[in-house]
Amino acid sequence: MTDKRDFPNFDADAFVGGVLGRTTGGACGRAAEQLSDLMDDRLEGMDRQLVQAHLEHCTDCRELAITLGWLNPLLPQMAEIQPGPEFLAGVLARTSAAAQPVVHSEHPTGLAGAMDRVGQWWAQRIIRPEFSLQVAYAATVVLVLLTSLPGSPLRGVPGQALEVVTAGPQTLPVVGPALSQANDWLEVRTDNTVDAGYEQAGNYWQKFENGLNRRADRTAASRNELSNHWETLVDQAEARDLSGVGYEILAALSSWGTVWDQWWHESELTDGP
Amino acid sequence: MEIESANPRNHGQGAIDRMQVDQTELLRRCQAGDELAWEVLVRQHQGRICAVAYGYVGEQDEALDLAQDIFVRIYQRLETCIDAEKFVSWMLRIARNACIDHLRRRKARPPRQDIPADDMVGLKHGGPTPEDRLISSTRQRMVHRALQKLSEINREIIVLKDIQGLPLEEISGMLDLPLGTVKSRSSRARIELAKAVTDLGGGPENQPGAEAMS
Repeated sequence: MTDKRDFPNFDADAFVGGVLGRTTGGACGRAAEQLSDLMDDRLEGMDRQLVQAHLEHCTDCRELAITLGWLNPLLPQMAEIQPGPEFLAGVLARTSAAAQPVVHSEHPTGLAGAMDRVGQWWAQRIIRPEFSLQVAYAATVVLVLLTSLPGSPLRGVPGQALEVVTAGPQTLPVVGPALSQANDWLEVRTDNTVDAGYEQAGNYWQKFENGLNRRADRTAASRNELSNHWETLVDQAEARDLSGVGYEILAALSSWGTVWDQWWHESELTDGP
Repeated sequence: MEIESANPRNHGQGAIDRMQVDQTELLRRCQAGDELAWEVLVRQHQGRICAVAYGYVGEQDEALDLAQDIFVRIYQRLETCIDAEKFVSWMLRIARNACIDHLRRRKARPPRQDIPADDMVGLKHGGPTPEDRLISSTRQRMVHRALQKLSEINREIIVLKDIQGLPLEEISGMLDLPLGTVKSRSSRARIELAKAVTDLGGGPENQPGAEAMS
């Protein structure tokens, strides 16, 4: 057998890498699978020896093993992070003021219950800085829309308010009529919207109900036929007449097909809402 | 069951450190609405809950808000915890569910235009930032950054198993995955974390004073 000293430029790692590349492929994947077990001292016998042998020759895997060894004692130290005393105060405020344990609280039902729950929800969130900012942002958007959209009730109010501030008390009479006008506008709009909503919903429902009745009438005969086939099928089954059962199943399926076609043939139902 | 307070670094927890609190009685009192018992319970576990929340979301203010939400959830469901010995895993299960809900809601929101973490170094001034106060160790900060680069499931397994030390059987039930899958994923998750640490330029070679593998 030839000794490697006969080849002064022989690179054993490159040679093994070449052979693995042409046969099984690199062994790093397999080594990585077992590295965690090795670090946890759960790898024994031949498996342990093989991974250790790989680490002797593979720089990448060795570095990975070293990093794993560095991580092992560090991770359990991260099990707790102390947030500071204000955190405890926040939790106690939220749990004592707003969130009683479910079993101890007796929530009223109905509208009162809903208002109670909304109140609790608000109390829990408003103490959070992020939520307060979100509420402030939403309120600003609403205010801008109310004061800037064409036709909106408060359009022009900021300008008038600015006039009051800059011009002094003599402009105060402008504000009263403007607010009164805005209030009238809002009342009329609200009444109109509610009335129109009721009327439209009523129309839709009437249309839907009419379509349903027409379909029920149209399919009455075939539904009756389907029902007869079903009853006969049950009788045949009780009499253990398999050929009769088979016939009735086919007949029932055919009747069902007719009902289906008649039901969906027209588009009354889709005319609805 | 008597358990000593887990962490001597806890703020204002000296008295709890010096005494041993009967956890069964503590839980019973909390369930009965005893505010003092509840305060002690929060003190005992706030570090752990904050660590779980931070492990999942990776951002300090968000984690603290989330940790408060988790305690409110725990408080509202205290009655359903019937075994004080299993309180910690019961609590971690609630924490985990709250974190997952939070991440789902966060995904549904449009992304914020945050300053990248690396750019924030230049904005530091004088005293320690809240982040510095929260995570005192540079090594831990590095691992937290690496954690955020992992897939969601791998991050969960690292947080629950390697950081919180839950047994694999419990994690399997919590994640609704077969035990074998959790085992194999656990190994892969640690490898992925080690690679992420290396990619971020961390690890033993770049941390003076840190111990290398013997």
